Amino acid sequence: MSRESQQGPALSRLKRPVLFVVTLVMTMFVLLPLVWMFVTAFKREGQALKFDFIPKTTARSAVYATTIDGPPVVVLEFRDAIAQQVAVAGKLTSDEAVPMLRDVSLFHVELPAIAPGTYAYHFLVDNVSKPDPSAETTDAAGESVIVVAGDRMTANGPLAVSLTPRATDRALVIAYTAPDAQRARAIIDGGRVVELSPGAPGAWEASVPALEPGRHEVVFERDRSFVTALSDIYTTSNFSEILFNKDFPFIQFFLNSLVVATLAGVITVCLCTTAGYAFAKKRFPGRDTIFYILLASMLVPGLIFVVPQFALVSQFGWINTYQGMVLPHVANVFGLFLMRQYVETIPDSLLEAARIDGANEWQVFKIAIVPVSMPIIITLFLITFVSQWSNFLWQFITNTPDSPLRTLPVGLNLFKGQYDIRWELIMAGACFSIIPVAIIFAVAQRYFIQGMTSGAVKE
Amino acid sequence: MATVRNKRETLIAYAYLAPFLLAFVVFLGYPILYSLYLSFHTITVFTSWFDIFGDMEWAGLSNYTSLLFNDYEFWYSLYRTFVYGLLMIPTQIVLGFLLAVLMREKLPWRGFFRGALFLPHILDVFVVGTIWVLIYSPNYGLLDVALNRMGITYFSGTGVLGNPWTALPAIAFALVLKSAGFGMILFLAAMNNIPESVYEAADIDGCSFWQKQWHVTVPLVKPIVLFLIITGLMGALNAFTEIYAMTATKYSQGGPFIESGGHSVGVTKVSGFYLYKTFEQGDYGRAAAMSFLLLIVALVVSVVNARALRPKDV
Repeated sequence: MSRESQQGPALSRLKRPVLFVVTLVMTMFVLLPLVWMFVTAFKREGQALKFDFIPKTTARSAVYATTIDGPPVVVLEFRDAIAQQVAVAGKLTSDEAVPMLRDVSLFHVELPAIAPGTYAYHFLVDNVSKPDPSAETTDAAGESVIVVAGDRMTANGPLAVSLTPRATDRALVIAYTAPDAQRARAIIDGGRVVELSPGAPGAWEASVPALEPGRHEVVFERDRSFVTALSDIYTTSNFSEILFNKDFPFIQFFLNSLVVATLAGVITVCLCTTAGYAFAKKRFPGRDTIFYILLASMLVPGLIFVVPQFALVSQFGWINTYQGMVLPHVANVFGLFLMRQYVETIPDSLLEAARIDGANEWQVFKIAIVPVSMPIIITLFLITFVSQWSNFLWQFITNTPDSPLRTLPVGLNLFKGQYDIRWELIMAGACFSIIPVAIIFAVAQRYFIQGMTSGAVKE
Repeated sequence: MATVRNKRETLIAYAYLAPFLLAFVVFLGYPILYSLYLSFHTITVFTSWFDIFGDMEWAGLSNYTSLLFNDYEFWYSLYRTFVYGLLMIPTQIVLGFLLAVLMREKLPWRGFFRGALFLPHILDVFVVGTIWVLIYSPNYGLLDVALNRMGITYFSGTGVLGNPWTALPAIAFALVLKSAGFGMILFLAAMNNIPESVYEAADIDGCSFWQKQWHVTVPLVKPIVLFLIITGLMGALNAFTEIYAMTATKYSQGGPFIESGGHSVGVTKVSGFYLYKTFEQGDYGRAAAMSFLLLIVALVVSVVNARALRPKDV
């Protein structure tokens, strides 16, 4: 019994591994948004909308099909990370819009039984007409042109595939262009695997004899190095893209946030330290009344000040200025309370000793109060810094959308409005807001915890 | 002689106080009074948009009466605020308490866990809210992918934030995860002040682990519960940023709409967000009046809570 009571209210030893796992799971849950932000910030364009995280060294192509002894089939591919719907239209499809199938960012379609000839066509990308970027020729009207030969199927697209059925020996001649592959193979009709041999650089080829007449499906599989597979999903370019974005300069946003949060921290600390000292160590008429008025103001929800503070700041002409963003929040009653509580614990004898040594009022404050109060001063500075670093509403309404002083959350909000599907860029922007605070917290954890708890727990 | 010294002391004290008081009066004291003045005024059709505050007209109590008697949305927003608080506060308290109990066990990596659990509390609400929008996105967001794997495709059309029944709970869930560490730290600090001897006495009485928590720990951390309820209520009344980050899109402001009492209302349009929308439309008098009504709500609720939870033996 005595052993257990020394440990406080401890559960039995057997349950500790269980408790450890429970704690671990809860911590992972709480940190999940940060992990998610971080991973997404490194994704390639379009990849943020896919649930792919583990690089695959073996990649499969879409399904291609051809017909031995039948009319040619045309396969078209179109790559677009943003588009929702793509269709093919024009002479090739008898002026009908044929929707393409979507394979994340790759759209493809198989048009069967096209009589040999020359056809014009275009894509309808979200109902906007566009020529095929990979077509070899274009006609005068801007339409892409495709030549459908007697016995071959033509494909466009970045992974160029050509399947040439030869009627004579019922063979299929396969050519596959995949520069990133180390090895490649073709899987025919979901079963037969044919290794492709390297031809020209980046090209793979094979000839498959003796196939049954009729339709055959071919899927390509390629082995890639891990680095290639990794760079298929991840990139570091998101960070440079947003840092040097012309309309949304995140470097500027970051510096603005830094200035606003630092100024707010420094001014708040100065005001709260002097006032806290007065409340803790001075006797003067009105002391208690003033203190209770200040305390009562803490019960007022902060949102209530927004309308009149905005009126005040706009009448001062302080819209789009640092002082407009900073000054309305420097009279921090919580900070004053924190400082008073701490300064009260400094013994009067210390102040007396300084006075006896001939220090004047200001010197007493400078040599007896400030150095001793350093821990709480740092605490108050850090708490103010992070809370103003994240003061979205106020910075949002005191800056016009084109203000040069937009801060990180405000900039991120405007950015989000324009690039609402580029999650990888939004998350890279979020990193600039989250990571500095996380680092500060990791270094100065005890100051935060001390400050946050002293408001609620009285010793 | 003594009075001269006292006068000097008083002057010095006020000199130290002056910067703080000046900032307080200008940016907090005066605005409250100015807000009261604004709440009795209204903008008119002739108001110049470059001098709104100068051009406002006396309106008597009409801002208040129209809010109280003619504005269904105002009452609905109060109701949603209440729901939001109800979803968030008890969960945060229970989770914070359980985490604190876990942290009291001498588990390995305790310092890391404590820091990691507390960290989200100090991060930017807007940014964290934005990350949750990605997690909650239909089809490719983590939550929907997980639900789809379990065979639930119900949310794949609109996402949880686009569904009237789940939008507010989803926001509350994100915020609870963000602030659970704060409650944990407060409970931990209070628990460390409980003398060992109290637990030893409970041991002698043959209390089990959970009996000790219920009969010893819980009553002694009651002030923390009160503190968390009051800060939670303030949080619910101040809720704006998370709503703006998570359910204000180009198409809808304040979440998915439902029909209620013959009105079409946004389910995440809590008071704070409604106040912002009124303010954004330039209706400053009405917004100020709304502020005061919310202030009354805040004070009443705080006082009721303080009474209800006051330790009886003190």
